[in-house]
Amino acid sequence: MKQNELQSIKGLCEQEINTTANWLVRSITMSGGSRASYTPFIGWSGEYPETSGYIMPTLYKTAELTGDQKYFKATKVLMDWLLSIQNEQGYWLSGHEKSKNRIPSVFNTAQILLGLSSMFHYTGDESLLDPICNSGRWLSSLVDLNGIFTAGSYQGSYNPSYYTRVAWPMLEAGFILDDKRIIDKATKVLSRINNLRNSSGYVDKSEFIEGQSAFTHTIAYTLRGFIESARILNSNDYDITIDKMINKLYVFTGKNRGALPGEFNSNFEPTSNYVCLTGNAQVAICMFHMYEKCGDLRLVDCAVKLIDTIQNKKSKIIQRMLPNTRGAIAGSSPFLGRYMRGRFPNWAAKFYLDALLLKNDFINQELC
Amino acid sequence: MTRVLITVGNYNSKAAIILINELIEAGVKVDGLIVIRRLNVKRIFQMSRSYGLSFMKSKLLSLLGPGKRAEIGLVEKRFKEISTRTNTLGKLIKLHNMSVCKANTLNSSSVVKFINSLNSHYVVYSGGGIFSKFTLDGINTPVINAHLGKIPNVRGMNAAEWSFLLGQKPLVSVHIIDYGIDTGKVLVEQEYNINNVKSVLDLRERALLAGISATLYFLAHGENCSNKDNITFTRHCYVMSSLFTLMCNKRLREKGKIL
Repeated sequence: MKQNELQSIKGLCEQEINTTANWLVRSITMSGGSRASYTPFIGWSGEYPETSGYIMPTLYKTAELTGDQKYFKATKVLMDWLLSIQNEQGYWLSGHEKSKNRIPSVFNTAQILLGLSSMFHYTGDESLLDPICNSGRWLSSLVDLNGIFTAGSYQGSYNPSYYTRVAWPMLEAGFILDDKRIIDKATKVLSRINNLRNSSGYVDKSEFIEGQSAFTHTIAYTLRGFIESARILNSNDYDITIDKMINKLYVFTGKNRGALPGEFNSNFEPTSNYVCLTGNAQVAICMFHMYEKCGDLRLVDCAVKLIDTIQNKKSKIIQRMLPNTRGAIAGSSPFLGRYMRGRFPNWAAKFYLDALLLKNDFINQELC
Repeated sequence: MTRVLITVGNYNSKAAIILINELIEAGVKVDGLIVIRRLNVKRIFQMSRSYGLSFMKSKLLSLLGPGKRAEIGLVEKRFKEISTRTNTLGKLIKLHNMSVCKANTLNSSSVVKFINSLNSHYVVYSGGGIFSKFTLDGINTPVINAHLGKIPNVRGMNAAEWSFLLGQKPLVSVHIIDYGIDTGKVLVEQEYNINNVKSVLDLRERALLAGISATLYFLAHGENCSNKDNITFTRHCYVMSSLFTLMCNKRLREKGKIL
């Protein structure tokens, strides 16, 4: 047994977990929010409620793994801040704290709800029930009979397909609260989006801006929303969509040795040469979850390659020159690729950390 | 007498040299070789674009010489049994008066002309890249390949390793090369022994030698496989990550109970 190699892979994974988690902790301000991104020579952006929401459970899981109290504290700080800025109707505003023209946001509220629901599952903290209820019911009140959100979208009436990732937290809330109305509305959203799958396996409207190419970031949002919703509902209704998306992403990952093209068109054809690193991490997470369902080790190998690509594309030179980037994950590789050009988003680090935690679990299960 | 052409991806490939020697010993006439020059500017440029510089470093080293990590143990042992008169491609070509076509890619017009001019019974694939649809349509000779896994269950790269990890029987499949990757009609299936296998490299070498044996079997005896219609092709296998190679090594050793 090549023990040295195993120790090296395991050690590197643990090191990456720590440096990435430390960067996320550094992104948190005194007032309690995680700042959306860091831009070299410009600095940090404003605190971002949406991503602060789903960073909470990531840091909590890191705390459980490492036992490091600073991650527990960071989780608490994020939670307190988010609860302090929640509107009494249950929503959170779009954008980050320095953004202009902020509106009540369906997607942002849903991501924070996801974080709160996860924290409820981990801690059983009943003080979270009211915020969960308020946000779940607010989201549900906006869904019409056709599964469309009638307000709260980034762009007018456009309901993108990555709203499966709104349905998912709605289901979490619905089951926590035993609220069938929320569950029913979430299911309507999922059914509508499921019908948007085309013959290539792409789910139409997975893109940020309708008609443009979709980043793997939003494609993975769509996919993960289906995977988690299927799990919660114990449903096979989305299996075909999930399988087709997984298979396409698996093939492109394999063909490109982990460097998944950053954008795809509606025929599920790549339209870019750069890698959306956030998307890589998110797709890796989806692969791990699908492995849990079907047991196909090839999916884990795919996930490992996606994660290794992110790791390999970190520039040690930049990290040494700019200490604020140590542990950060860029939006794209090359750095000036179209997704989050020239920036290190906090959600890239979050998803990378989630993927690393899953990889670490797998290593411990299989090799130790 | 069966006549074949052989594709070779590496002029120093011991596996190819073993294959050719065994074919000749079995009475198969090797009409010629298609030798692909792997170290060419176009290929280097394409690979650096696709895979980046760090991958290129390791890949260039392997292109410059024989696949050293693949040629320890069984393959090396078999290679050493070959007479010094026939232990290089150059010697084989001269001794058996083989025609040679050297090209930068399998899919060049010179390769197509070469294959069609010799009118051999089969082209035996032993490396050099992937045949394009255009090339396959242009040649008049079927191409056969020994794939190191069961088709359609385990298609693609690292088939021997994936076969093991996915709980498939250790066997090789000699098949016709068609437009897809490892999708062609299966001609011969041959199992190989993985008792006391020491490592992934050992596993691959056993599979490789079984592939040579299965190719010989087909050329001597014909098909031994009844193909079913409406085969469902499963997920393609890609080159394993280093983590998975490590896992495969661990499981092989556990299976072989090596301490």
